[in-house]
Amino acid sequence: MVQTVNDRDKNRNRAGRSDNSAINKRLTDLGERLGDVKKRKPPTDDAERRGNAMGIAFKVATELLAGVLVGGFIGWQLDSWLETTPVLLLVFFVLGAGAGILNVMRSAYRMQSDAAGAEKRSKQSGHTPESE
Amino acid sequence: MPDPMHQFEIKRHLDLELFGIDVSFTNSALFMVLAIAAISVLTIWGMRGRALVPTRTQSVAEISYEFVAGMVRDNVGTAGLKYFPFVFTVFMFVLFLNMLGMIPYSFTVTSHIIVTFAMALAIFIGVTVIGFINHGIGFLKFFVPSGVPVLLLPLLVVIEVISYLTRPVSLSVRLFANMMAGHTMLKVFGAFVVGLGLIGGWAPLAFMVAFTGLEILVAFLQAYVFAILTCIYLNDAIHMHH
Repeated sequence: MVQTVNDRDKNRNRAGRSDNSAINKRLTDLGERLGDVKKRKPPTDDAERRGNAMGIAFKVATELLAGVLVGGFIGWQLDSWLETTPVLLLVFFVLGAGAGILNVMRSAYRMQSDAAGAEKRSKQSGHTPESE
Repeated sequence: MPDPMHQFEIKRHLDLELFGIDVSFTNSALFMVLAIAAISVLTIWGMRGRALVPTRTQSVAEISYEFVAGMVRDNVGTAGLKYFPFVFTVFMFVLFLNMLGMIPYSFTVTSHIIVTFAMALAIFIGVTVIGFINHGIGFLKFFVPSGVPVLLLPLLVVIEVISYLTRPVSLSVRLFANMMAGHTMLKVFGAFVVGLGLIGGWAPLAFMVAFTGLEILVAFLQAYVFAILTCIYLNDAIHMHH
């Protein structure tokens, strides 16, 4: 469709309605064609899911590690300050591990509620290709 | 085999010293400046038309704006929109640093833990200050879990405080480790392509093509995670619940 801007402006009022219906027709056409393609080739989200799972595993691992590291660091600093080596290092190492586990649990809860929310939303919209 | 860690080396482009502190202009600084310039081009030059029907650049700028605005609204609520400029800056900066790092021969600033840790620490301190401004001394209640026997309380408060202090560490380590591991992998497999030559080099080359795609995804995802965790921390500071 080759038209200059002025031409289009002139025609806009006259052709506005038919333009809209044409666009709608094209949209539904495209939607149908997309649906066909999707039916022919079901989405292989296995790789995607695996990548996501690896991301989650990495996230959880860093959280656990960060707890232990920070706990150990605090204990080490307190030890060298109060000259109680290695009592506080050991105590805070364990406390840090506890904090790490707490972090892991919190992020797991958050992921769970996120996943539940996403599922509910997709059920509400209810028009996934699988349900057809 | 070439050294896969060579790409992370800091090189000085301009020797500078200020009050006895080494503030040389390095390749790391250069790529930070490039990222800022690219973001400015996108948001200022791209939005110059302010057209109702956007050009391509304008729509990219608008999409990134709406993306971050939606993220802040979903995770912090409307009270958080006050801090939108900060979250937008953090997101765009990390995203552009990661993406610039994907260009061959460029330098990935976010693969240095000192950079990510400094950013995470700035976010951590800022969010803590926001918490104290909003709730005063009552923000300390954030560290006291509810519904616990008094006997256990001292132990749990210490654990909560340590858990709070781990935030900058896990935030920075996640970004840094992802970027560094990815770029090292790319380099190692690149060396395999050369090492195996014309006969055997095709398999690692095919892998590298796929892995580069994954790395671009990771570059985006890590910027997203960095920004969304900033939002979650902001939410804790404003609304005070886990």
